[in-house]
Amino acid sequence: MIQLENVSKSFFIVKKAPGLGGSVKSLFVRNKETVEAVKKIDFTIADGEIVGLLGPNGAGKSTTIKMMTGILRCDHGRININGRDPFRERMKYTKDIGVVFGQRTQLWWELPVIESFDIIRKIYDVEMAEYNERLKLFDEMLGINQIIHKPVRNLSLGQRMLCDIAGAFLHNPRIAFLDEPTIGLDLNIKSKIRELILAMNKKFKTTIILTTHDISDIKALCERIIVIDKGSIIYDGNLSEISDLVGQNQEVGIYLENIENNQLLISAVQSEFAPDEVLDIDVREDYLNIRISNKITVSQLMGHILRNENIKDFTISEPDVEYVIRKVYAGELGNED
Amino acid sequence: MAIKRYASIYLKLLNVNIKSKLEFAADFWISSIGLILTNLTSLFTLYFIFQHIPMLGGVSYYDTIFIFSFFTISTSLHQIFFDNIWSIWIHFIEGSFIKYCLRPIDSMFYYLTESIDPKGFSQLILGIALMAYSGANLNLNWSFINIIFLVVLLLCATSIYTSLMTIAAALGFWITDPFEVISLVNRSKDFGKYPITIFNNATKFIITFVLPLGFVGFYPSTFFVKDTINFMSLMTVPVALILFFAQRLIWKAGLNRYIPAGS
Repeated sequence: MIQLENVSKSFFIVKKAPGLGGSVKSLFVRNKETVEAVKKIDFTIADGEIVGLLGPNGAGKSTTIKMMTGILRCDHGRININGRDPFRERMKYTKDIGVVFGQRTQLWWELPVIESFDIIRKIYDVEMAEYNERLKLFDEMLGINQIIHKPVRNLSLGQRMLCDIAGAFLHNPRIAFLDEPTIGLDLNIKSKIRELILAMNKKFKTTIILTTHDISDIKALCERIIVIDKGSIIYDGNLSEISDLVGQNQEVGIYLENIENNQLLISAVQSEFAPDEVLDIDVREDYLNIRISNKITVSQLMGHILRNENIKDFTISEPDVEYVIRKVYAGELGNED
Repeated sequence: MAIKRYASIYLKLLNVNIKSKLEFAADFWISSIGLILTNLTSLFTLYFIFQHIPMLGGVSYYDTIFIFSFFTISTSLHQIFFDNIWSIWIHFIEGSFIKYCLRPIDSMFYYLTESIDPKGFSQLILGIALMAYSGANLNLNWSFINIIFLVVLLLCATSIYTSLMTIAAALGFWITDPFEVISLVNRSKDFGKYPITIFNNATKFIITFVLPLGFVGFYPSTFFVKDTINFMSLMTVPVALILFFAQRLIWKAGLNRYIPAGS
């Protein structure tokens, strides 16, 4: 059980004037500025959930993860995970979690992977039988047996990630924090990692907290997502309902009889409707994709189009998750402040 | 229970680290030879000085070599077992130190034991040889009790140097880049290698009370080269204990306020 109540975290950064003069001045006069990285966030995650933590770079995701893993203390609010305060009870707390930071290995760089695993076994007091069973499972799913006798430093990024993921699940943690576990990996390795995450969640009820910029990861793994932007939660709920964030938008696909007239139609539509009515128009392979807000209806749009051009066919669809998440990352949604 | 667990982890680390390091035979031999040559240069300097003068700061040639050998042994032990502390500044700059906060073991233990450096063994052997050589010429009495004292004082000296390096490294929790401080302690350690009597009073004061590097070589070795038991050599033990606890407290305080760089 993960509970965050009203959690805030600020950092001080030293502001300095530009140029050498500014640097010298900052040696004597320090202009400190407070940056609120995380502002009063609240959420509860039950055991066995898989939750995606999303948001653009600098949104406060990393700070949130660092507070949840006990690296950072929160300034205000309360964090209670598995009945413990991650920062104050770090030694006991970390027994129950597994962590992967995609960019950096958690294994011993110079040692063969299998030795790292054995050290992890000793650190977490994993029973030998359980340990062997796990290694067998990891090999079945990830095929790591051919690489675990090599030192970590000789592995490719993909091989290293497979081993890092295995290392994080080796001691059967109650919660796994996976920070960008698929960054820079090929499709084959990505899918192996996803399968393992799902299997761990199903078989051992491991709670998974995942951050990623990869939309296909989110679709494959997360039922619930929490979107953080500018330090606040802008969405917490089902992945399937995330389109609510952009309102009741609709997408209309127009297949013209004469494709050369695409540009003419674009200007005709743009001159008739305001930018908050027709949100954007995309030229796709053989059709135009027009996204409209709930300020106009599809029939209004279609009426106008039919007056101008002959069409072969058209489609109407709801906005997809991918579109919404792209918007989130572009910083086009969320709190205005 | 805790000690047993840590001992088991440590023995494992020691074993696999040495095994994996020795696989790079060329690396091991070249760096070993380099280390020995560095030591031989300072040794030759001492040798040539004593060609011209009978005593250095009131200390004879063999006494000076004994001090030198004591220092070499104690710093080699640091080099073998705790040399990883030297490169901690990289983790502070890159923000990668968080790695050491994510497992249920002491973060300092986790960091210090991550890498073990067997090339220090060559220097250790040189130190032992020098101690045997100077000891024989000084007619030192290697009684059982003296050997016990030697081991205790050597361990204390190693602990003092390691504590000083750890304190310097722990400053990284506050200042982000502790490289200059770590390197200052590292470069100053040679003050412990020579008879302290050759330095002026200000330097003597600093290496006794401020940055007590005198306890890494000179002070503890006077226990053996002087006829009477002297106060300063025995002070090595309390100094080691005080620095050990100071270092633990500073590390803990630093960890509590540590804000990792980057994301």
